[in-house]
Amino acid sequence: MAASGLALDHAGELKRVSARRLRLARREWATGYLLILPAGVVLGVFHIFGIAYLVYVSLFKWAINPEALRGIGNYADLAHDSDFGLALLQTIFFVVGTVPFEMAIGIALAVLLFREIAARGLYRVIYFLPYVTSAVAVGVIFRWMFNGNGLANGLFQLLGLPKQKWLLESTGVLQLMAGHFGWHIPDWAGGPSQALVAIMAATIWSATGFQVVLFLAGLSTISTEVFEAARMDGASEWQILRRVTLPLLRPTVVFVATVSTIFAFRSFSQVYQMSQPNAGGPLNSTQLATIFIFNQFYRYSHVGYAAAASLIVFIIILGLTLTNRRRLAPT
Amino acid sequence: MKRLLGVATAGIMLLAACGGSASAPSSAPSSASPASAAASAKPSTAAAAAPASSGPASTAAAKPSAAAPAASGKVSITFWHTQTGANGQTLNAMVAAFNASHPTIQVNAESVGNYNDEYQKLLAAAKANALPDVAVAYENVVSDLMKANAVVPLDHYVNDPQVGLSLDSQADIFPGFVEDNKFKQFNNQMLSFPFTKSVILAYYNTDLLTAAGVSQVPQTWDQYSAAMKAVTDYAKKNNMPWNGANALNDDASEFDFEIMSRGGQLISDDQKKSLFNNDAAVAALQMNADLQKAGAAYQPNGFDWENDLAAQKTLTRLDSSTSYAFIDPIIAKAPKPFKYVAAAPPTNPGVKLTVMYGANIAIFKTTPQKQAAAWEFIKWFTATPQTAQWSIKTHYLPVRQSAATSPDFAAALAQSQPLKAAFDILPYAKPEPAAAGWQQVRDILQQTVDAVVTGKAQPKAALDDAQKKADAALAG
Amino acid sequence: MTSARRWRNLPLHVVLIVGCGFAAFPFFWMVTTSFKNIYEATSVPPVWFPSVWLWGNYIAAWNAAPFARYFLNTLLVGGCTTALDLVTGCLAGYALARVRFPGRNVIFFLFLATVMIPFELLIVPDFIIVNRLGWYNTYLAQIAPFAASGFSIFLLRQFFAQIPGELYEAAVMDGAGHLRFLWQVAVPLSVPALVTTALFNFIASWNAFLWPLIVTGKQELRPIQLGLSAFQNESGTNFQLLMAGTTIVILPVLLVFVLAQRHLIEGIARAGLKG
Repeated sequence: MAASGLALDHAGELKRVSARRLRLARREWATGYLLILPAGVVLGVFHIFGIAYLVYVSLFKWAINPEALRGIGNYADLAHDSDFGLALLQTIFFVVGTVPFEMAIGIALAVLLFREIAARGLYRVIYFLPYVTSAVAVGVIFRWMFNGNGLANGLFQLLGLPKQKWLLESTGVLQLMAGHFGWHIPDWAGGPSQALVAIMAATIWSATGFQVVLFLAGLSTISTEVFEAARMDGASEWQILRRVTLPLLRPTVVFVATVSTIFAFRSFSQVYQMSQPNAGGPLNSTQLATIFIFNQFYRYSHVGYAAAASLIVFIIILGLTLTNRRRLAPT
Repeated sequence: MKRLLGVATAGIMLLAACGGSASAPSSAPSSASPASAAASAKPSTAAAAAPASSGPASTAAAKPSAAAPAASGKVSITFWHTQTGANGQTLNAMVAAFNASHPTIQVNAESVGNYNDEYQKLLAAAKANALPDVAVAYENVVSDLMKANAVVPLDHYVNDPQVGLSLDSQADIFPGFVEDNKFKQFNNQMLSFPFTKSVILAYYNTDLLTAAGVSQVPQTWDQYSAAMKAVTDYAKKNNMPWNGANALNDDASEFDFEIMSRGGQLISDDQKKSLFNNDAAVAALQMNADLQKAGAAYQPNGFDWENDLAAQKTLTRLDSSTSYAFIDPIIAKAPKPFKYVAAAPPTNPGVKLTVMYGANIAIFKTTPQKQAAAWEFIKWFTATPQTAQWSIKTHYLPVRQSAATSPDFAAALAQSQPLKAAFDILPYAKPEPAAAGWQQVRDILQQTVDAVVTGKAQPKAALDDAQKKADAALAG
Repeated sequence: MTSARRWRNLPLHVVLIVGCGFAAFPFFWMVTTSFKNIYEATSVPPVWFPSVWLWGNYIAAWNAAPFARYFLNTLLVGGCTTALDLVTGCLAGYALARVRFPGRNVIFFLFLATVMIPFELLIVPDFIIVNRLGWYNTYLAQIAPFAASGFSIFLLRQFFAQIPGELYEAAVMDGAGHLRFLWQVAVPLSVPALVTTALFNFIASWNAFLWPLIVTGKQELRPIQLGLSAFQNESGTNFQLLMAGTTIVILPVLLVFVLAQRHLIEGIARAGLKG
């Protein structure tokens, strides 16, 4: 038989095929590589190289220039650094406390704003306002709202609750709530500090617009015929939502969940703004991993240490994403 | 295929268009290596029979140089600073004045954000060999850059018989500033020069003090404590909306001051061990905790204290002497105007002390010509007329005692009580330690104050804990 | 719409309006504060409306920094970045979704990995590169690192992957290859995704602060966010001017969104599919 070779079939598996198929397949390979080349060059130069640089730096004690080769010394120190452990824990609180809420509100709003109702465009613009407001402005405004005599406490007083310290409160919210009823919870089970919860509220507020836009885009890929068919079958709006919309929205949901989680792990600007003037919030209770890294980097000049910490966080995020890789595979 | 080529070509053309439009010939820092300009002579500096204090200098300064500045024209240097708004405009005007009066030098001042931003920019520039010629920097930044061999020690210039400062001139600079810029870990070399300095003052609402029966501004800690309680009682009796008498400043600089003013030390001479775990610190923490518990002090969030003071919800605050520029306009618009005074902060009896804030200015290694030009700029900026003018316009403090001889400055002193208070205590201002790792210790100290005043820790226990962490930070 | 349907929508409107209150309130506060004097602006408990509406704050804010120039710069940089990012994102996203080649999944995760490292950490290595290339103080330095992004590639890939295979097979039977399919079928079908990508990219460009600060020294090249730093100082914040400045800066982005959101609408009728 004439030359044959290996090529990828529909399922991505390598199979032996005829020469002609091989030629076609190879051409497809070339097309593929060519198409990813521009992006690959930009990302390779400005991101991948940077990551490699961080790996290199993390092996040293380093302020501006390498001072001493430490190998995995920085990583070993991080494993014993209780501040870093705290930062990671607080980051997990942050991710768990923001992403699910953002998504629930995001989907709900997108579904509502997708329908043909009056002033739909106006609503969308208003709900998008939070996202376009810059991190500095959001930070400044929310710090004012969570002031001791500010809006949040005003609301609390209306509800008959005592005034809170919000961004100055390092005690965990679970402890505070238990204390309100006269119970006592140990420190380690206190949960995120009230300061952190205030920052989470601000984050959910500003990120929801982001989610709404993405879900709107996702909804617009669902052909109207599907909706009409379901309605003609007599399905209620709620049933349509559960049986038709959400399943068809799955690729978007996967995308938004992945991206929101990554961004939550990476949260910096807003949290930093709202933690001012402290480097990490009251008693470091709003010091997320990225803020820990930032402080090590730019406040204490522990550049090698910071690089190691950032790689650990990177690996955690990468690990989380990879465990979901089946869901991320193209349909 | 053709389509792809078309798209790619369009993309490349777009890229070229975007990039080409403003690639200005950058007078900006890009890899001017020290050695390359060694040929062009630098007047006089070389001739200095200066003490061998130049440290790891590659400035080629030892070469006896022939004559005149190059006939090629101006030396252009780049200057990074963090001044914005009105202060930024003042700085630009002064730079323009310098350029006009020094025809062979052109200083290009660039505003580079706040200190954090500037540090990131300096760090990136240091790695890329693209540092500016001169920049504003805090002590820890100078220290880092010195370790990376990028800073030019100034003793050489200061002591130079031709371009340096006379002994009288050197003595004219406030001693605290000189101490602040000599780095113990680098053989006591002077690595930077004072630039935008201020000191801690205590701001008091004097109308409120008088109404509460406190006849004079507190000078000792005991008087201070008593005054806080007295005014709080008065406020409560008259049902005033009241946060607390002292708007506590939990910054490490204030805590350092409280310790030192009570006779305590902060750090060992070799800068390797912390010494702040002492009775003075315990007393300071205890006082603040007690005041907080009695409702006579509270923790404001950031700059909120300025509005609280103007709204008469608080009595006093320990803060920088530059703050009066901010509280004046707020108080002017307050519903009930009142008189306030900025005083020397309270201390133990008989002690005159304050702590200084603010950044300095440092020269980076480039070419001998540029370094000399940078030194001329620094010398001019800190000369008596200029330093007086800078102080009057920006509310930072003059660098020299002889500023008082300038008629404009004397007039300003007569008009501005806070400026006079700051200037009067300036001879007694001390710097905070500039040890490696001190920034981390500062954060530890701040958390100690927070923990104690919120009731989460007792003073002695908190200080023990802080000492352990601080020693670890200083060690490595 | 029948009037019965209008009334049915009323509870929906109520919910949405309450939600609007939450979403818009900080913005409302920002705008009203921009007209206050410095005492009212920082007052706690809050002063809701200024006693005197100081329109002069906007003039002062505008004059505090060369905002006109900054606007132009941001438009230029934002426009170029968005255009380039769309192109690289479409090409790569399509390839990763529909073109078969070995290593495709690895490359996808590699691209995705670039989203996981905050850009702040890459400032130093990126600046070294930019400086070596001689791009310090240029627009190019502000554009180049963002000419492609893992986020856009991921987003576009998800959308391209959803296009039914039958459409591709029909195109193949007509003699088209991937590229023609991409240009003539996939892209028109994915307008919402493209609009979304462009929108986010534009906003990111508009909010850029740290990187432009690092790669520019001259005022003439700087973008808008750097202008806002004129209002913050080590000893205080000019609150009402900062709010005025922020409002000025947000308005163009809002305008872009108003124009863009019209493309995020109804589903696409796949009338041509069965034919």
